[in-house]
Amino acid sequence: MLEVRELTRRFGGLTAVDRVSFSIGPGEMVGIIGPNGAGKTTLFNLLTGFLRPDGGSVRFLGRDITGWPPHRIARLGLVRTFQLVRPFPNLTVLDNVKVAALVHTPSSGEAERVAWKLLEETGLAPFAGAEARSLPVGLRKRLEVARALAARPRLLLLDEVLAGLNPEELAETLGLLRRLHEGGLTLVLIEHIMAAVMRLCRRVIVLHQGRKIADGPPEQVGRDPAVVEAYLGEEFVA
Amino acid sequence: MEALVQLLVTSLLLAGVYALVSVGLTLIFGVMRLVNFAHGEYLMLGMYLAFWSFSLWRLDPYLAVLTAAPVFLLVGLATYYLVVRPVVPRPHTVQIFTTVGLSILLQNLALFLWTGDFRFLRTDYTNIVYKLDGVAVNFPQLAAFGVSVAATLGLFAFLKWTWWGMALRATAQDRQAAVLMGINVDRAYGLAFAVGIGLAGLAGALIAPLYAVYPTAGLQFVLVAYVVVVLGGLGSLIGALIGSLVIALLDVVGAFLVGIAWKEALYFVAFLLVLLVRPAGLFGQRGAEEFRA
Amino acid sequence: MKGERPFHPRLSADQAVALGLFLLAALSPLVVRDNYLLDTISLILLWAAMATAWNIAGGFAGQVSLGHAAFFGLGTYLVALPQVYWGWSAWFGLGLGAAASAGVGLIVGYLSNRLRGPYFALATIALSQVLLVVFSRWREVTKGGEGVPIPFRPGLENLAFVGKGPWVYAMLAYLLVVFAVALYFERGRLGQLLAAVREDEDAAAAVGIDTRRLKVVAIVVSALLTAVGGALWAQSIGFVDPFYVFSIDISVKMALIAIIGGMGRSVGPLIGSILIISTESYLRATLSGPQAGQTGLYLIIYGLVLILVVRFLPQGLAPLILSLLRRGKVGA
Repeated sequence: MLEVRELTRRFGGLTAVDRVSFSIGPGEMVGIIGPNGAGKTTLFNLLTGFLRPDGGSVRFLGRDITGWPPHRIARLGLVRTFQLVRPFPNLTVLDNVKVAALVHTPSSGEAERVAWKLLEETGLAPFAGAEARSLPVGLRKRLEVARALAARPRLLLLDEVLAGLNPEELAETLGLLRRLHEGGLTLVLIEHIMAAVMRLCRRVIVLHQGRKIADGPPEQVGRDPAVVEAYLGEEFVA
Repeated sequence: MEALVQLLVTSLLLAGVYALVSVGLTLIFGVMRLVNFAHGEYLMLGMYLAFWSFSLWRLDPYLAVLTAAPVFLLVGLATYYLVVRPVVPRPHTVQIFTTVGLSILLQNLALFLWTGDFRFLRTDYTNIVYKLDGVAVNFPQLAAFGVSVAATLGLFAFLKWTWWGMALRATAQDRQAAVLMGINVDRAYGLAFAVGIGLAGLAGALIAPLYAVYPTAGLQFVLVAYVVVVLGGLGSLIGALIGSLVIALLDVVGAFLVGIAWKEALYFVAFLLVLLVRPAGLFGQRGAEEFRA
Repeated sequence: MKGERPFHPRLSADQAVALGLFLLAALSPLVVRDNYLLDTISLILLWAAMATAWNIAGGFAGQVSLGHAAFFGLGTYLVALPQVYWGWSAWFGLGLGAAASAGVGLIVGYLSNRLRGPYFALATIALSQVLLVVFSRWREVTKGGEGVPIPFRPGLENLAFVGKGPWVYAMLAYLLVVFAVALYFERGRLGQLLAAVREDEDAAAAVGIDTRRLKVVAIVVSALLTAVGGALWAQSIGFVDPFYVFSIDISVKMALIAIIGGMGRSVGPLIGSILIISTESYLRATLSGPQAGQTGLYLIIYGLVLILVVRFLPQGLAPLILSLLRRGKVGA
């Protein structure tokens, strides 16, 4: 579904993403982990058109999307969320989701129906009329996911969607992710909270200093000496 | 050949004044990320200061020049605290129209107080012309150039060697880092703005003997200043200097080639080309496209 | 725009007020005899329309232009010159001006995708200034600085009327068209997508919104509508002066009216125009002769009002006035 080949991006003297290659098949749930500065978010930016690669290519659904503008990639079905959530602050929660749905349907009524359904699925229905900027972080993250879902993703890229959540919110979000995955959605998660990723994903890719250093099932990756060294003592649970 | 040298010399002298105005503009932008649409009006007020000082009190225009800088420094500070500071955290639209509103206010204040009549500041010695090898230069041009250079050098020295100068440069480069280093960013902004306006007022006083004084006099200069600043790169002082030279050259040579009538179109076209091709200008640090709220 | 659901079944306060104003305007030529007053009403309607047109780009798409005089001026010249040179109908000139402005609008739209905020504003100023220089110097084609007098041949087919009354209807018709378009940009699908673009362009792109195309569409429509206003104005005055029609003053006035009235809604510029143009007309009528310099006084006040409104009432005066009216309707 998604084929990444030798993707590279430099910023001045720093190579943020260094010849990274991997493939994601339909229905997978893959975690991308790595210490800070490993290049995870840069990778997402490259995949979704927010940054131009200096080398390599990205293919999605059989099409070469390298260098495509972000909105075109999103419309094709490769949708991302932002690490630092970016809701439309002055629009209501409902409108935030509705506007994403409007991209795919000319009917305002239809978009609103879709939006309501998604709000219910993500547990945001009680907040529908509130302005997005009045929401606390936990709810904003969920809004970000709901909005991304309205954009009809075939593959959803979630950037640290679990960060900063309290245990209750965490459990709910994990449940949501599992439901989405069971429903057939392909998910790729960047996460820092390794425990969750190891438990949730059947496949984990590890980035370190821009390079891919491991790619496989969590138990295997967890024991990989290169990975252990990269994290230098950070504890994780396999 | 003589004509060419004359052109070059005149360009150089003019560049001095453009530099003074542009450097102030680019300083404000560099430190505060604010485009000051009212900059020209302070230039105009500087012109009127020189004119009225002479008309009412017989104050020599070059003495007026001495007072212009501190007066406009204070005016700039006042403007910052009253008008600009409250809108610094607000979105672009608010900032744009705050300075546009200021521009309207000042222009029409001048119009109201002093009418739209063109005023001319002429003293006994403003007509002195020096001739060197067939190149003619008049005293006010020379004086304007001299003071501009001195003031610009003074500014560079200030920015390079004083604590506040370095604080301004730090704020311009990375605002958050500056805050973390204990720089009072609000004061830095106030200082940058005040200095920028001070320079504009000073420039106005300097050119009063050279050009007609009227309420919309600032417009011509500020538009050129913007071309200079964008060409050189917003936020870059060296860029402002080099940009001044280029534009002054374009101005004089353009007038010679296509006539005074069309040369104005020349620098607006240049302006648009720069924005289209290389919005960062020659030395700008950030591209205009990246300029985000 | 905040939390409002579009397509209300009943009339919103906005629309009711607008409708009321339109009706008043429509009735005015039957009731008002004074020519100066009728002329003022025409001007109010014209500027309301142009400010609304500006607002489509500036308020709804978030692209603040200070160079809309470029489109206005093009509209005036392209309606005037074909009449003067070839005797063609003013309607043709109007269409030509609209098309040409749409074309220039494409260029401006391209610029809006390369430049942000103040840079874009500066670029639009530069553009209008280039046109000013070109049109005021090119004697062979545009008659240079002297301007272009438009031959007066009354009749609807020539878009020229005797008396002030018909012009009120012409301007009202224009305003109704512009207002309808603005409503679509405010509440229709395009409008909602634009709201997202205004809020956060990148996040909008991330969900598939073609931000670039939307902005260009808004700007082109805004340009086109402004040019039509220029054409109508030129016809009503009968003379085109390049130094006026391409001036920054015109650009700023359009923006000022929209902002003071309220950029967020279609009805804002209407209210802004009523406030500003009527004050202007009143002052011009009462202060004349040696006091003529005093008309500058109201501009000082406008500068001040602009600074204050943009700082304290970013939504403009419309919400304030509308809530006052609503309270009045419900009863004290």
